[in-house]
Amino acid sequence: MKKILCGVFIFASLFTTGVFLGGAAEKEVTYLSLADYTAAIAGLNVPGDMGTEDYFKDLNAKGGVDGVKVKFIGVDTRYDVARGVSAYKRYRAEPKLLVANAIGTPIGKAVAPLATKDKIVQLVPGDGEFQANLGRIFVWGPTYQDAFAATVDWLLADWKKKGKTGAPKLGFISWDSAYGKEPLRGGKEYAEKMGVALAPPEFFPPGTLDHTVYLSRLAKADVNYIFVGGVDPTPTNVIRDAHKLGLTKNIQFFCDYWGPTSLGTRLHPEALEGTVIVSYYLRGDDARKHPMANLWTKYGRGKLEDMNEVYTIGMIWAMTFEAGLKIALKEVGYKKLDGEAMYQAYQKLTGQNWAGLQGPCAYSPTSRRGSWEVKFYQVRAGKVVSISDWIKAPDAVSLHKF
Amino acid sequence: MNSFRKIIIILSLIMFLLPLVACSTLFPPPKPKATVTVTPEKVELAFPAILKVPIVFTGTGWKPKETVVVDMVLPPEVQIQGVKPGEDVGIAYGEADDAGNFKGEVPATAKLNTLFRVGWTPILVPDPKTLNPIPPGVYKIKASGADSGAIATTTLEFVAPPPKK
Repeated sequence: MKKILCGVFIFASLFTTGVFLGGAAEKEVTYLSLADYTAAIAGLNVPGDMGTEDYFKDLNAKGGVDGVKVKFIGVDTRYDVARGVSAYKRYRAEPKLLVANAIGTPIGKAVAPLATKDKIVQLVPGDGEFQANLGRIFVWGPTYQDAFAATVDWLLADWKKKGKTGAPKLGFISWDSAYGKEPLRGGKEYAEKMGVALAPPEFFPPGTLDHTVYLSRLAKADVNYIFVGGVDPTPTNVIRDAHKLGLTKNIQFFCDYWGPTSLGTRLHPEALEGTVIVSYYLRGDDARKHPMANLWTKYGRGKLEDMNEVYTIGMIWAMTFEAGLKIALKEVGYKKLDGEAMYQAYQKLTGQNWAGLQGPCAYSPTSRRGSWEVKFYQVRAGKVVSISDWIKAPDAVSLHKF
Repeated sequence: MNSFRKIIIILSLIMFLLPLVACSTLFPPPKPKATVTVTPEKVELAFPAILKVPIVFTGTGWKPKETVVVDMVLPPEVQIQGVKPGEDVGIAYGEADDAGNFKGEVPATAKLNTLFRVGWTPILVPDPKTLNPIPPGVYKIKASGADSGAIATTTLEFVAPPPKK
């Protein structure tokens, strides 16, 4: 009888201490991607998250970070802010959620207050406002306005090289959205500071089929250069329309980070010929020939020549997470690991090099920029080829009042 | 022997009850009485006219400055791309002001992606041929506060457009 009673007592104790409730579970942390897999920016977002997922698969197969595995959760928000906010709320209670990557500027801005309250790290594409107002929100690379400013420098050098006199005039066309307007919040001030005249910017709704009206207005403004925003294939389609209007003969076109990838260059190689792309990550064959691109074939994504270079950005997100996790685990251990520890860790990633896929990491207590460096590429004979080394982008964020 | 048995039984009971007592702390204190209403209460599933019809949620009694998420509860037979079976779908959100009032409008993307379940073309524009409106009917709407955890519900009715003559 005594034995039975003792048994009951031991069972009750084990029940209380949680031994039967999964106390011996695998050590795991969560990475949340608020992505778009089926709508407006899916063309880039799908390969991006493939890169992240594959890198984490590889990492987990090697035992994770000090035995801690990474759980990847990808949610298809369809580039819809309401869905993005709802999805974040749904997954915010995931065990050891450390980082949420809000892919899409409007979703990033909407989720930021929630991620801040939850004290986790949030990633956003290129919003300068998160550099201006330091918090838990980190930008993937240089901000959009920094990249725009670097392009202003490039066009001034080009203008000089061509022996032109007077001030060049720059046009700007992009989506009518928070993303579309971000480059000018500091970029406009930089252009003015450098003596480049800006024509009134043109904004159009995402999904616009024909851009000739907007382009014609810019042509009437006698611009010498046009900076095209939007996520591919939008910029490809804008330049396709410019080509139809004959504008690509005399006007030099630029694109930002999301300008023609292999998606666009295959659609309209002739129209895109000569387009200059400012990028914070490797493009074209630079990306495909990088040793890390092997993960693309290792995980059965297809032929290497079909790899969209945005795949490498996804790997960079995952490499950054891995490096942050390593620091955080060292600092606080798994038991105390939380968003705050990861936030502290991300600020200590200064100077880390993501295998050369991007410039050195610039995250620090005073910087939320993923890096400072950009490279210029140009579409030549249907290929995206490098035309510059890594160049430090100017700080355009500090020129704007946020 | 009897006293030993009693002690063991009492101890065992305490051990079983402890988790339940601990769990009671998981239940938060009473929430402020939150409300949500929608204007209009009835919406015609007509495209593209719906893009010009503002569908606005308003509410009171929310925690000041908290984000209020408005989800539509999907009946099991209604499937929406990007939404797992059994999940609700976000259709609006807003931030409560200092007085706890919030306002959130259904954006055009939610009308396209959720109410009309539109597909996108290879050049990534909405494809009108794929318009597939959700079945007309009364849908439950659930608003929830991100900080307070408060929940308020209402309904939104979708009606089929009149047949074309």
